[in-house]
Amino acid sequence: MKENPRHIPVVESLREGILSRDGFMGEDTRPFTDIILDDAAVLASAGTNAVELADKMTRLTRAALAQAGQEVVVEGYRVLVEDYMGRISCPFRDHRAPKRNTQVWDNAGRQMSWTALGVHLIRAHGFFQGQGAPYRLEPAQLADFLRALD
Amino acid sequence: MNFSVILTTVGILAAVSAGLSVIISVADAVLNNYGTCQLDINNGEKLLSVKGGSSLLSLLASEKIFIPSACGGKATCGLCKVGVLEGGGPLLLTEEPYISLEERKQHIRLSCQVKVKTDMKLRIPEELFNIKEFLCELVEVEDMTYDIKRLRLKLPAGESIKFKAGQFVQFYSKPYGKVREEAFRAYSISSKASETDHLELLIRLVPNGIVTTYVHTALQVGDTVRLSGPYGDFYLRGDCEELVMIAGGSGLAPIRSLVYDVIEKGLPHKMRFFFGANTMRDLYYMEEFTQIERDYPQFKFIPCLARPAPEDNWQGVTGFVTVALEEQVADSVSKEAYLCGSPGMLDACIKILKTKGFTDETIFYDKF
Repeated sequence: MKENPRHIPVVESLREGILSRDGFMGEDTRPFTDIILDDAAVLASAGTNAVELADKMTRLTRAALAQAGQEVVVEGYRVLVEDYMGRISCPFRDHRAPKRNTQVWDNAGRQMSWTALGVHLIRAHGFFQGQGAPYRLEPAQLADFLRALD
Repeated sequence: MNFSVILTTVGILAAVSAGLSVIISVADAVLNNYGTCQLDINNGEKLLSVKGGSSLLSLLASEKIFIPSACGGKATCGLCKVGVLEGGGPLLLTEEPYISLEERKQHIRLSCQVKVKTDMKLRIPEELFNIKEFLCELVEVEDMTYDIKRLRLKLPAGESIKFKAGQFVQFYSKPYGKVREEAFRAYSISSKASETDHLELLIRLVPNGIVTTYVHTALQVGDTVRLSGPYGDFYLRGDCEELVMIAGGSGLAPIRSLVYDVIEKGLPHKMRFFFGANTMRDLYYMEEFTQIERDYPQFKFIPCLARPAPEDNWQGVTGFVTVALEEQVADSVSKEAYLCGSPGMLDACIKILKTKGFTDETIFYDKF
């Protein structure tokens, strides 16, 4: 299928070595628009959506940010935020996020992590990143992981 | 289907593909050929002829005019502003977040986003013409912590760099691993401004970072490193009696340079340096700053550990740097604050400083 010309700069920015070392697509060969649609369908069947998940992720990160570098307990989760100097641009060119990583553990010992840019990609673009990308979050897993925040 | 039909089909497809590639290449060369463009800088002060088609930032750099940029031309730092009086086209969506209404009236643009397609009239601050490019030799690498390296770089024989303590350079990484293009990022100079034949940088590994991964995994002593600089307006104003300095992680770099500058110039300012870290393993340059404190009574060093382990036997301030700031800085009277660290730390410290009476005019930090 012919690439939408408006998507060309986004596709370029998603690949490895442009905005980040490993990029945002991993080994996924689907167009990013298909990844977004497929993940949205998964979320819909789980009874949630990208914005709802991003809100919960933001809540956990914000609560731990004041004590960045230190593990804190927030709403039953253990949360550790690491903040770095500098910012990274969104591949969709509408935001620049701080270089910030959040690691979260639940009571069952499960762990998930996300970046500030990753949360923006989910909230603003419904983009959970391609399969194999280092910060790809599986929508169904994430929804289940954050379920306790309802 | 027999074998010869398959071969013929494959051959035809290959020929068609090759033909299309040629057509696309020719079309690209014709349609995107902007020819030679004239850049008139500062009303005829400099006239450049460049081949159009690239960003203004990169074309100016190819003509040895280095506009500051911390993000490598990705429209994320907002530093590469120049006046584009004619020929820049309309403001792009990617520029809007960085260009204020006042700047729009002055035709300020992000040079990384403006593509040179026609003759242009530009306005560029004079001081940027003094920025130079250096091909340095990496002569030392030292692990300061588990994720921060100190690089010592030797300038080419006969060359020197004149910078103000606190300023930064742009560091260019080479292609490596999956990274197929050169990239550059801004790093503050940590060495003394009086030392003009070497530079030192402190670089913390950022997960998935392009340039920091290059520094931490690919760069070797003896390698040639391309730098340009110096850049930035984070330097000593000194219109006060006391300097409140705050840093976290590799943010120590410009503060170290500033401290030495004050001492070497014999300036009268009192200095208090709050250095925030999480655990003992995040602290470095402890002996050096403790020694400075002993030698120069005007300097006070306050390392703060957020979560010291019991076995650390930590005797210093426990808690976040913001706690120490809250407790130990009473007011803003005749004080200036100099900060360098992560956005989260900067925001938290600035908030506290403002409650003490500091203003945007007395708080200094790099905004990248």
